[in-house]
Amino acid sequence: MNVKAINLHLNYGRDEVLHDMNFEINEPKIYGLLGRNGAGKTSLLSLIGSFREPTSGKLLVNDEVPFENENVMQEVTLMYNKDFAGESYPPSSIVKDINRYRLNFDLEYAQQLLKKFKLEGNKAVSKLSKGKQSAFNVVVGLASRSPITIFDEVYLGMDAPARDLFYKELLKDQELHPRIIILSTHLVSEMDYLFDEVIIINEGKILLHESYDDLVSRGLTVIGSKQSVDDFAKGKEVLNEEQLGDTKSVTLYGELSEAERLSASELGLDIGPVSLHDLFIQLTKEVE
Amino acid sequence: MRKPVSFARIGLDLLWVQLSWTFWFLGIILLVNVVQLIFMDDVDSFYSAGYIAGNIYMLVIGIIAITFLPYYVENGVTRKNYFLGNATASIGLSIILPIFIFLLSLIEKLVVKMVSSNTLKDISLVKFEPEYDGNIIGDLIQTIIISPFINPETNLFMSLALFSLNIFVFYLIGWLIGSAFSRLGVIAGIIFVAFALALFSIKDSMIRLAMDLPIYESLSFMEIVPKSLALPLVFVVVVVTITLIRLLTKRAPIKI
Repeated sequence: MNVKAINLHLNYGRDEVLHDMNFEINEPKIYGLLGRNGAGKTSLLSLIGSFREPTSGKLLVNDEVPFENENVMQEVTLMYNKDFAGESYPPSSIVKDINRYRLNFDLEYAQQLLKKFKLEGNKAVSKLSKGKQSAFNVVVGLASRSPITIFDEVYLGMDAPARDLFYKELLKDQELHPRIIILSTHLVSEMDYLFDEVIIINEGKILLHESYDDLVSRGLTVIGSKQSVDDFAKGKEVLNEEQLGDTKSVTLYGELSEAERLSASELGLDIGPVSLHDLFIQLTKEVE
Repeated sequence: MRKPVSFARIGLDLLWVQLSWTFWFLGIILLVNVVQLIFMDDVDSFYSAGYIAGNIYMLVIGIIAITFLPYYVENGVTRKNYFLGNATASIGLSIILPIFIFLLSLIEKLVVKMVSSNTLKDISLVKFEPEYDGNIIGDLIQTIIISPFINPETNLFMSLALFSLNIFVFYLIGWLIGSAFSRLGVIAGIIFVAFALALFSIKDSMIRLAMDLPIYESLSFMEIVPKSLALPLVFVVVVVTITLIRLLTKRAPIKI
């Protein structure tokens, strides 16, 4: 399975939502798609899910245009925060219907998950709480076992234990049935350990696409006296600085050479890692 | 890789869903009819009652039919297969509904004959004469409510066929209005409602022309159409409506 964007543009009327995107994902891994509100995450995912067509450029799934392509559409599941207002059937009967259309759907697994997320009752989905409805979306997404499975912020309404259960199920099922999983989220600090690769988009453009380990190793915090920190940070990409008295902390982006690490310890500086959460905030910060 | 879902399967599923709504509808119409029978003397048969109510019912479920589109796209089914599936389902529904109504009506007549002296009539629709007041709004509304009718006792096959044709056109026009609203928004949707009224009046007038029934006065300009072209024009109305539905749904985005 493979998803490729080539000079991808999407406009809503005069609004340019996605601007000249280029990326490619190939391996059955978990991809974290991060971006501020309105950055274009849902729009990008809508294109992969054949919900929309690009304005120009190309989005390809297995080298084919997904829109109205029944072979591709069968392989892609996009779960989002759906409005279940008119849904008068209980979860258990809806999964049976979906099983009729989704070729990879595993009904037995879906029923197990419904039990785990306490959704096995006969209550109509429209009458479930927001959190339970989110959990239902998660169940459908996992049980669809689609080679490309996308969760667009579906976990937002779920409470912490339910989210934790989802993360565990996701990792477990991914091990048994590897597929391309794309998670778009705001809950960066909570979910970062799930990501194999991270894609950050900002204002409709791809800001970066890297493996999680590479990305996190590239960011570091340097703490020490103001003078030595300033000396050390000179000429480097500074994402953020904070100061308390004479003690200063900066967040740097970029790898350090062995010599630089040595000089840092000579200057008496503390070097620590940066969380993805902080990197994300700093990288997508609006210029004031 | 397994084969994707065929439109025939989607058509059958959609037919079944809409039939299950139809059972409710028939139950309610039957209930109203039975209550009328108990309290009133001069009551229409279930067939006549269903004939009128069926039009509006099909218009309404036609309007709702667009909501199946996002459901199917989300489940990996193409817009094309949704369209073909629902078109198939609407034909099936238009054939089955008159037959059901006719059979229920037969049963009702038998029961009524056994328990009372009350007689059921199919005639009020046959006797119906358009009111010639020349008010175009009134005429348009009448074309929607009262479709041309053939008494099932004089020609059962023709009566059922005309019933099917009427409700089929109503369903398609409902589907067209729903598609226009969801794809183009409210203002364009309202323009499509006006267009739908034009389609209704053409359909109604052409069937009347073909059956030698009088056409509503404000639509009487359509009498210039030669009788031999009347039914082909009804067919044109169907084709135009179906084509527009396809064009509106072919590349419709699913908004999330």
